[in-house]
Amino acid sequence: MGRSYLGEFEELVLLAVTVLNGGAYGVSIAEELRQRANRTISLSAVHIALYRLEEKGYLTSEMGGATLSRGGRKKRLFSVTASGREMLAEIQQVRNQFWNVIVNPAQS
Amino acid sequence: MKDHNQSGPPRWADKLFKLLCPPELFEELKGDLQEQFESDISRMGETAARRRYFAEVLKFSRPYFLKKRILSKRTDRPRTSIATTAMLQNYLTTARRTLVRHKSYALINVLGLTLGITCGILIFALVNYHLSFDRFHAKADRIYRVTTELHNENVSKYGTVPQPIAAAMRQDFAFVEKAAMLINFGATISITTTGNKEKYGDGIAYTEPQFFDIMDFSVISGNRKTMLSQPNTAVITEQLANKYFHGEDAIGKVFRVDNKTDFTVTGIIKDLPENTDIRQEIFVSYTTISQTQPWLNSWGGIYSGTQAFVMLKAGTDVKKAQKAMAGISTKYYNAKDAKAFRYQLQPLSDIHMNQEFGGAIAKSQLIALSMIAIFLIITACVNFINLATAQALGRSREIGVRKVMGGMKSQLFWQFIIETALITSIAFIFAVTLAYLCMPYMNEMLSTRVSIDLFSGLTQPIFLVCLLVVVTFISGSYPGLVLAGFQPITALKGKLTQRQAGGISIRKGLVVTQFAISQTLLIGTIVVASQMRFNTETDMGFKKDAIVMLPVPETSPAKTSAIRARLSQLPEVEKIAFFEAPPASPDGNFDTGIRYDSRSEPEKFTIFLKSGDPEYVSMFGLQLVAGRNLSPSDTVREYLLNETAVKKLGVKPEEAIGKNVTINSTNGIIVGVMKDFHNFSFRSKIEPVCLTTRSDHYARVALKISGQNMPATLTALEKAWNESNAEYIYSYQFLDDHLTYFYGTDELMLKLMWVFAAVAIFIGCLGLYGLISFMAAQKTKEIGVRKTLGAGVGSIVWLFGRQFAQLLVVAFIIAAPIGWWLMEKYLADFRYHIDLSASIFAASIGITFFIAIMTVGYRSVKAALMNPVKALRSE
Repeated sequence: MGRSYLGEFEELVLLAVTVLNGGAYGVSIAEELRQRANRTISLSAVHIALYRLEEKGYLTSEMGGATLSRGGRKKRLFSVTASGREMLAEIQQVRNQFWNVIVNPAQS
Repeated sequence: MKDHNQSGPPRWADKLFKLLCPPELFEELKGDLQEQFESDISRMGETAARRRYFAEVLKFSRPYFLKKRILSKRTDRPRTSIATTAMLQNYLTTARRTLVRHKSYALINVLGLTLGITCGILIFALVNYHLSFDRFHAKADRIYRVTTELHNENVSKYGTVPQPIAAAMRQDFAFVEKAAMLINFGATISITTTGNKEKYGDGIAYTEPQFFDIMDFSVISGNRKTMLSQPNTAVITEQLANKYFHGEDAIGKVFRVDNKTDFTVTGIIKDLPENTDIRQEIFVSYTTISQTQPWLNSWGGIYSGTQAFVMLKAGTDVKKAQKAMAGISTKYYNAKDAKAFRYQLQPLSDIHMNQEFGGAIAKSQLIALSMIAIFLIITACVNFINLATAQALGRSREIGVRKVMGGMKSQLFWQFIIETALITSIAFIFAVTLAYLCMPYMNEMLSTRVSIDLFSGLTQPIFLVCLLVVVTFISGSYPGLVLAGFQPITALKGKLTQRQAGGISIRKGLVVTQFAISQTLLIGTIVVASQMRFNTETDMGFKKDAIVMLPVPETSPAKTSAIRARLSQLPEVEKIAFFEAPPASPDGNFDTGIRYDSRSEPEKFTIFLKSGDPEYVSMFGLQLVAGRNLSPSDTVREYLLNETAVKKLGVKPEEAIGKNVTINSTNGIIVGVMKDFHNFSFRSKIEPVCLTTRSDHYARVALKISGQNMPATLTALEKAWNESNAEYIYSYQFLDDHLTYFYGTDELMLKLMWVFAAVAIFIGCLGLYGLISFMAAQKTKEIGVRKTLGAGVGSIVWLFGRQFAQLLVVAFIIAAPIGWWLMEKYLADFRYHIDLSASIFAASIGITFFIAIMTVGYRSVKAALMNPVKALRSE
């Protein structure tokens, strides 16, 4: 099975979904990214990343409950799949390997 | 709640989002947007939130979503689209069948629309042509023409300027990037090639080299910078180069102007584009003017061929520049003249349309033309609406069936629009062809160079498509709504009446509109025609019959007397007079200052100086109210003044006799006072005029011709003239033809109005004919019953006639005041004009009635003569 690689932004979105743990949908993910990564991201960008991740099989989604603040509309809630977690762990591992080789991170 | 509503996201952003968003994702995405918007409001306020919302929506136009959006549409509704195509086919079939079945209906509609649209296309092309004048220069927005304002008793404006002004502008003002004079003269060009000598009568223009930096005329050969820097050099157009030198390389070739000055061609430019007012084709170097026209170099006089063009530096404030130009008056004139001579800048784009400075066509005329075009198109549409609504009754069964089968109102409406589109498209094809065919005639009539070219530019095709859509909707929507609104049951029973078919009153209203438009045009045409007749037939205060004018190319006394001797040999020539310009003339008028007797100050008014020999007075039948005629002289010694001039001087005619007067800085004695004559067209009032002897200005000779055989006389004249002026080109002009130049635009307007009025009336009649045919069919039974009960033909014709007569009268009541108002405005332009009499209006309604009766009459008589038995048996 061919493997799909993740872009930097997709990785961040995937991480945010993991962190939000069940409460992940467009606005909350954008908000999470704004707070943690300190960048403002448009909803459309977030959604494209979400749909792509879902197509790649790292995310699943279901329609969730409606709230009044959304004008009574339902939200699509995303959660990470097993392969998504695997992917994240793998990325982390690759990074760690590199960092271990770098002797003094502060000087490089 | 209201608050909540107001602080919602921008509505049109929502609409845009709905358009962009794939439908299956709409719910979640819209929800997210809404949620973020509401949290934004509390975080950063409403304005910023709205802005962000809009930005977010815009970002949904990414390819990712667009692709989804398009794909989802295709997969979403395959069935409807098949249904639509099927229905479309059905509509087209039905439309075709309807047209074929009702041939006369189709014919009348197509004919009416074709005529209306043809006029629309022609006028659009014309207006577009006039609007495009001199816009092609790259720096057109920075190019201006210097204009003169003469502040005397009243302000007069000229597009021409004193000759030194361009040099002054270049020298004095930092905001002037380039400035150039362009001075026109009529000229005879002669070219001597091996053996033979050719003569051409083309104008020349003394041009400063910077002219070609200002205007974008492409140079084919020669150096743009240096080609006019040397004396006796010239730049000509490609076309003239071919004409003069027959395809040989023109550079370095020589031609002679007025048999005096030689010019060497140093540059060739491309033929002038059609949409420029600069029509000179021979540009000669400006440095030559000091030898050929030395008299020109003064600040005090303005020769009528002198123009100055300047290009301002980028970013110059024109208002400030205009203010600074007051400096010209103070610097180059004495204190008193500084008040009189003022200079302004006129944008290049304004030249073609500013009538104050002799522009070719006024904006208001273009607007009037566009209005007429719109009116004609409306009349054609009205025609269509009228016929279609009337005809709709006949289709009630079809509509009923469609409705019963589940046809929706909107479907029926669109069906009708498609049918209309079919008819208008056919009409368009005819109209474009017709416009193509008519274009050469229009160009000839208006002396324009308009072209219809659907393939080179975008404006014309876009205009056509827009017009097609607009016409389709204007003509199709009302009948469409009427059709769609039928009650299915009544429609199926065939019991629909006129009243249900969209109200006869609306249709009456439309006919009234049509006839109001055509009658207004008709009134206009009659008024303009009468005024034109007034212009040519009213006594102008001088004789103008049987007077031929010939040019006098060389004005030396020896040459003049030689011509006089030669011409007086001809037996048909009764009288000969040498002069500069006839009593009234569109050209050769010279306006100058006057100082009377011992008065210390020059007068506040200016006087038109005419030059002519003592024969002038008797040649043109001018009458003297006091004093005597001029005595023969070659220089200025005596003056004749007209009554207006004497009145303005504040003296009685008898008192003025024998007094000294200084006109145009030349002293002389007033020896007589002429009775007033019109020295311009009937548009202007009679101005102060004086006549004096100045033989070096006698550029024309007038001949009073007797006898019947005019062609023979003219040939004899040509022969005699050519003998004494071998170097020049012969031309002649009758005085009354010369005077018609005053009314060139009016003549054009009249021709155009004739055409438009005729088209409008014709379209109106088509509609009338269609309507009466329909009524006759509707009333078949009624007529039958009436006839069996003993009604005569007359009373039945009157049945039809009464209604239409009413409509025409109502239309007239609307048209008369509008026409009166418009024509008052037109006539106000003439200082001497006809009165708007009742007979003009009577003629207009008379003509309309006559034409309407011709149209309606045949049909109604035919209906009235029908055998009642047949009528009653029908159905």
